[in-house]
Amino acid sequence: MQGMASESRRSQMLRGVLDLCLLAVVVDEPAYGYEMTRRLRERGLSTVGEGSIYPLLGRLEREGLVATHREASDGGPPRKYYSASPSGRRALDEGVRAWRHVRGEVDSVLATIEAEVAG
Amino acid sequence: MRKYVEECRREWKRLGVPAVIADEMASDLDADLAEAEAEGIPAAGVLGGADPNQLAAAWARERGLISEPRLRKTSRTRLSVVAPAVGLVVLGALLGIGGFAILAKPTASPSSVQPVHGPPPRLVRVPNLIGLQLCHAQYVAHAHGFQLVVRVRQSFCRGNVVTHQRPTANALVPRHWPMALRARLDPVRVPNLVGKSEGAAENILDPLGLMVRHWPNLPLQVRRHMRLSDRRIVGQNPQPGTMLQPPHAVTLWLSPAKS
Repeated sequence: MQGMASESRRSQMLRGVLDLCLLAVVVDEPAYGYEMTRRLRERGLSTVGEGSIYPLLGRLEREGLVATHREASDGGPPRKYYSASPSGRRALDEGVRAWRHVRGEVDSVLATIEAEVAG
Repeated sequence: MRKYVEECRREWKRLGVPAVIADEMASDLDADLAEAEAEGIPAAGVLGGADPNQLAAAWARERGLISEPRLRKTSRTRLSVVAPAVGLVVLGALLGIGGFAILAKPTASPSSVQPVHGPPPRLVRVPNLIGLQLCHAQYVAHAHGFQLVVRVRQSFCRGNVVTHQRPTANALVPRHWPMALRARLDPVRVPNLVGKSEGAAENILDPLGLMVRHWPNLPLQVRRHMRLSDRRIVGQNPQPGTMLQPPHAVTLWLSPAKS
């Protein structure tokens, strides 16, 4: 039960920053859907919570934060590649700054509680 | 196609997502799941815990293929209504047959639109795109309020002229109504790429509308790790001088590793 609660909390936390993670893995090099999942995994994000990346990719595309094109694949249909657009890069920069700021604030609060509990 | 993907496709159909876009999303999802399966990654690693209906609805909604009120309405009452607004779909890079590319196919006519909620949809007059280069047609369509859901690459769409469009020019349709374009794709002569780097070959093929297929076909990370991109092309298929219909691919063989 505790594990489920913990996973649910993790999903909620990820929900706010997963778009940044997706932009981060295509900022240097385009990738198709599963390749993005693989890059996230290689950077330590093994699961993306209760949802999947596809709806989020749809939103990033609709908002113009990613550009898309199709490239041939070996034997299969052409794959849809995503890359960060100029506005996506700006959104990533701003998002990373905001994330670090919030993370610092939250860490400060949690550290205080930890000290009080420990004391 | 996997059962999960088929269920997604059914849900997209129910929600009124145009078939050509539903096919595209289903194909992408199926290819991703196949690749994950080949790597021993369970489907949950790709899909999270989402069931097909949830995923299909969320994906379509976030792409702007269906509206929130429509989603809620259809979820509750299962009304069969045509989805609003999907935009201009250009799939020329995908389907190249006999000198023409069927770029998109709308799934419903404007007359089948039924009112859902709120004010009546704003109508826009369809611009005449026939005779325009595909790049320019995309630009004009965008300027007229059509959302471009799928674009072809700039380097590819240059030089390919729109020959058919649906709805026809001057028709009045709801803003963001799906539009189908067909463009002429003339065959091009395959250049000689032997001795060139992989990057140089891509720069040559890209403006011709031809795609690159590498041999061996390895994931990007592996390719970078092995520094395949530093190697030279030692062979290609089709051979130089062959006439090839875009957007077919040219397969490149790279030189062995330097010792």
